[in-house]
Amino acid sequence: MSSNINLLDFNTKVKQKKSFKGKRVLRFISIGMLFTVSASSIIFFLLIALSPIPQLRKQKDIASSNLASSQEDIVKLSLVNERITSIKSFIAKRKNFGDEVNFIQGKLTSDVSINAIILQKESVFVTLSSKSLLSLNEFINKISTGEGIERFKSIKIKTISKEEGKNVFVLTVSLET
Amino acid sequence: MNKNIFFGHNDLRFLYFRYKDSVYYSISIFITVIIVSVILVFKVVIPQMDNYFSIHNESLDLQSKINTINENITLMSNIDKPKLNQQLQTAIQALPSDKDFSGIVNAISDTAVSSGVSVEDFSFHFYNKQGKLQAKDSSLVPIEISIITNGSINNQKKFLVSILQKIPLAQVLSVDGDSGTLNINMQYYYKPFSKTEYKEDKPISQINNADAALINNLSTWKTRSFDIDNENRNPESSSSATPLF
Repeated sequence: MSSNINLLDFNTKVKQKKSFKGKRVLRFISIGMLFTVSASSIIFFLLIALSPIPQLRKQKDIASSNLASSQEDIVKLSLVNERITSIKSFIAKRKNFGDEVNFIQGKLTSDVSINAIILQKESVFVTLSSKSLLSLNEFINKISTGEGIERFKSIKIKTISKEEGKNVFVLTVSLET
Repeated sequence: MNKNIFFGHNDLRFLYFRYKDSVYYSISIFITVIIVSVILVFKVVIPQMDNYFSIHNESLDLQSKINTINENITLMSNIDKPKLNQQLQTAIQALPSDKDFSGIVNAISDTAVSSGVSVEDFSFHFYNKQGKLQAKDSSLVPIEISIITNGSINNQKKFLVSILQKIPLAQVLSVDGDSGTLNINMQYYYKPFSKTEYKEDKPISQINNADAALINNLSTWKTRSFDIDNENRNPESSSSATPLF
């Protein structure tokens, strides 16, 4: 039996207050969500409906038709660019053998003549003749110092002989570039 | 046995009147609204958002394409057409689209005359695209030519330098000989026209200053062409020409 003489239970009021607070929070959340969903849906709908894509497509079509009149020149321009790209890389890679001959000739003294020369991509064979061994020696000294070291990876004396009849010394040198 | 106390006691209307003043009624309504809102977010709002962003991206893309096309129009309207034709002609002469025998012969003859060497013999070797002489640049097709030149070492050297400054462009592969006669192996190249893939919304690349300078340089390498008919008609000019082949 209850010892309390009050007919109304105080705990019930507290429970009611709590339930009212929870209800208010739920109501706030539900109304807020409903509002957010509807507002965002309407905003996105309007943004999609008012998109500038149709006008942009029209603009693009007009611009494309304007550019179409220059199509021939565009093709010419692309052809020039394509050829020039190939030409540039080709010119950069090709070897100038004239330079090699010039270098070798520059190291020769007046009494040394070139008997034979073979110029290849990575090597040069040169056969020289002179009445003086000293001149041939001078040539070897000249190509094996300074610019010669930078230009050639290796310098090898292949043969050195004397042609008895002509009384000349013949030297064959191999130069690896 | 029928458990209904009275007819329709489970009807929605009855349930509404029974629970409408109860706290559970309003709570259930709020929870239902929240659930429906969440469902709407996933089923409507997010797809709408995706749609909007894809449309936005598409419009940005279209705008940039329009800008590119407009830039291309401006570029093409400012281009000097006679100069472009000249540049194209020079580029094609330097790197022909097909085997340019007359160009090759003219280049060799012109170089021989200017260097003071005589060309004794020459032979062409052709290779198809799959040939072993295929150049490193896969689009270039080589034509190998062997020539025998006669002249002093200085003139031969001049020839080797000058041949590189003539168009069509040549590459000397090897040189073999003595001071009087040289056997020169050279390669000329041609590049067949490839299918030009033109897209209007791709920016057109202009000929830059370095390339224009290279084309100008190439145009100075043009060879004097030998007009056989004219030379036959004019006996004076034929008598003064240096015999080459």
